[in-house]
Amino acid sequence: MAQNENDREDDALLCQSLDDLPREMLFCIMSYCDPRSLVNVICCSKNLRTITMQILLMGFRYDEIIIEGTPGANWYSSNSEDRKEIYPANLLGNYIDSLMTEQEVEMDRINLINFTTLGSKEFVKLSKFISKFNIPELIVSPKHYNWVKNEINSSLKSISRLSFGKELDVGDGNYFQTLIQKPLIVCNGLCAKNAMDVKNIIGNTQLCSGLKVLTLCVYTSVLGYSFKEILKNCPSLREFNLFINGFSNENYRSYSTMREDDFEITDELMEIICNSNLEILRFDTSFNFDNFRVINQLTENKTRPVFPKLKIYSNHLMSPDMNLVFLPNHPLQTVSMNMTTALNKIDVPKCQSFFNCSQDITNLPIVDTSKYTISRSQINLNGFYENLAACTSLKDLHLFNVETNNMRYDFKNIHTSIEQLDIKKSRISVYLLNHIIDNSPNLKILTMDNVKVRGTLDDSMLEFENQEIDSQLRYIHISTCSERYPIVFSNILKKNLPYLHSVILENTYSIGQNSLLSLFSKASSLSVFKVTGAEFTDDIIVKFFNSFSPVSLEYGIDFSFNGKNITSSFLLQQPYLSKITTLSLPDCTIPNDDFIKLLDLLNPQLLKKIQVNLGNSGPTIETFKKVQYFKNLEMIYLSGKPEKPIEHFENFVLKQFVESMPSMILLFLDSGEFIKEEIELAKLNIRSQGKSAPKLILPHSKKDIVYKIENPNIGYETNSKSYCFLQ
Amino acid sequence: MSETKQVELTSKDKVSFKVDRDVILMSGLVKDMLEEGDEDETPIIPIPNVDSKPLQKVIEYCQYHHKEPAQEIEKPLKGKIEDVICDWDKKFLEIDQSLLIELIMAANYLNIKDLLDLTCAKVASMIKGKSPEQIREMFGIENDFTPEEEAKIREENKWCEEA
Repeated sequence: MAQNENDREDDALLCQSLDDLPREMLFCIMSYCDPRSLVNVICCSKNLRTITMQILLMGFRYDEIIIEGTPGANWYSSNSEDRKEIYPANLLGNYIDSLMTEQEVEMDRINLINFTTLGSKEFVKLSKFISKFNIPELIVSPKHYNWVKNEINSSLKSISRLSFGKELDVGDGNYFQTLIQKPLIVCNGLCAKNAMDVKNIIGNTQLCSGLKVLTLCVYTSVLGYSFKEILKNCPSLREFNLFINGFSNENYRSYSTMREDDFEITDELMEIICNSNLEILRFDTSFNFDNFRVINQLTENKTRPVFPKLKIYSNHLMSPDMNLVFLPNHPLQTVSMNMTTALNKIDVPKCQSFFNCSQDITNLPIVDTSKYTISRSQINLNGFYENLAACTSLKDLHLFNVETNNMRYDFKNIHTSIEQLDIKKSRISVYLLNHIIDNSPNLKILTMDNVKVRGTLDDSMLEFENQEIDSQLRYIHISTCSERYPIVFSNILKKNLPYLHSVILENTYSIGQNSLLSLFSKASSLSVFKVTGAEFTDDIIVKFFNSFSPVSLEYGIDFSFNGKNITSSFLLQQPYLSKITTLSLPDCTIPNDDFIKLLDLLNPQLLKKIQVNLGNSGPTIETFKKVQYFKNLEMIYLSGKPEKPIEHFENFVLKQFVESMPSMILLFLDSGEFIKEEIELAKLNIRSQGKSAPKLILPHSKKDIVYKIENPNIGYETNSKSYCFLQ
Repeated sequence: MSETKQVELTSKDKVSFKVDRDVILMSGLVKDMLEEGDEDETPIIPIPNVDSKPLQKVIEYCQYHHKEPAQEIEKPLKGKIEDVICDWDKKFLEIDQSLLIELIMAANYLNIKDLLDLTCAKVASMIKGKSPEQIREMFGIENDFTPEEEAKIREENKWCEEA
């Protein structure tokens, strides 16, 4: 029986507010928010403040930090842009003070990686907090080691999951592993430089008995020993990450002929790995080692299945022998390894994702996988195409940090299954790129970031001949691809583009007007189209808007174009001015009078961002009075400097304009002379009204200090003579 | 020609929806349930935590996106969400706020990551650039801070204004 309508409405009401959403969903929402938005959420209500503070303190889980298929990154990558230390230490203290007044919190971890250096005051608070709320997980960086070491068995008693950053070197003289007098479920970052360190770990039965996840940083000499002993003495282990972070000359092994970095496979070890419950196994290092040889003929005949429950196998050591022994035959979720020529004799099992991190690929291994990633590699094209086409399940091809040679080959293989091509930080031959684009009839998504396309094409190939074939491309996002845009586009534009709905082209300084016009004429129903860097003119802008679907124009127009020759008379005639949400024209000069007329035609409810250059005509107080009507404006960049200083200009901007713009988060001017203290006072006034102050980038008074705009983007001259980035 | 296999989903308010098996496999929850059952039958899967209205939207999303892969949405959002999603998604998100929140709950329960990301990013986009007062008004949140408390919170978080 259908539920009563009123009941249904009641249920819907239960989750109508942000307050009502469970924490994991709020976490997902917050992950899309910038810090300023987060702080605005914090200021909404006590409940949201409490939840958001907890979300900020929890940060990432340890397993969210793992970047699969990236040698040397291990389980924590300090290179990631998102994971910089961004939160000040006093914030942590304040948040903890506030949360300590709660009866209970919903936190299952504290991640201190994102906080700047903490002082003893913060550590004392943290200890009390963890103890009060029985927090089970702690993720810290090595600089927090002394606190953890001193408190692990007292105030940090509740911690059963402990993760250090990869830099941690806790084995050295401190024997951290012997200090832990309680069972841990997760322990990431222990270090074993020698056999004694390993013995200290396995000798600590309290630590080992319940351990499910272990990341151990080892020296070369104890790789094999620690591998065997940990598997033997940690019966509950499900995830084992071995990270080689140093060399050692110690030789304690029985075989005098062994090199210190050999890996000894014995009957005992084979028995252990055939009965292991391990689900995740990773070998990793940021060093280059010689091959780790395996000593034992047993390895050549794997009569019994190894690691029968394994789901993820990752080995970034140069060791064909190890793969022969440890790589299972059953289907896996993920396989990641250095697949050199010598390794081609290995049959990689069927897997959802395959990462090949070999530095030199002459023969691409054929793998039954839907996602194939090649990283850190130099690819010899001969053999690449054939084998790629033989991977018949392949849907997503990712090339990261790849370099190909620039020789020309005539290949005819069709990659029917490939739907996504993603290239990052690579130097790619134009032949390889065009071959994949040309011969992947189902290619839907093309993304390229920081790619240098090598080689040039014959003039004949640069013509946009129409093949009367429909491309399946839906989405193209190309950013920072140097001077080869025309070459990339020459092939894309040979086909019709009936399904293309999103095009984002960043820093397209090399793209010519012909390429742009051809793109606009072929893509007729775009819903997302952003081009920065290319030189636009009035005529090209008209054609640009003709390529949009009428529907997408209803959602507001981003009118952002580089180009010195865009005229204000053209702008004033545009039919869609009332739908513009962003007006950004950094290169052309718009006289102040025209700008004021333009403002009359724009929609004060819709406009969020404005960036114009008013040359030597403005901005004036009159300009700001007009801009004041746009209460939803968030970002304002007004370049240009009147020839003569305007009386009371600074006073008007700071005391009347800034305070009257409720949504403004940034104001950039390069005219006027502002006194630093008065800028701070204006911000203080806004804060005293319970609002966030905007970021004010204003020229300081010469009496004060010479103000210098530290914006590396400005002044960057390009081939097209566009010199400003769209903000 | 082989007939397309179907699955019957029953919502919390007892409304049934027949949907192609391939389509609803986008849901991790349904996928797991189907793996346990008999392939030859048309299984009836109860979705006791989701009302018919959001469930219908979920099915609509899966019907479109099982053939058209969803685009990854940048984190954090630099602009508004409409700047980075396709027209179909823009139209799809033209829903009232209570349904949007229900959709987030449904996407989470049914384990459809792309839909969860889209709907959560939509909420984040709604929050972006809004003052606390505007956020409160939009989501019906009651301000239970005293002015002094609010000023103190502003002060402790002012570091982010220069970010």
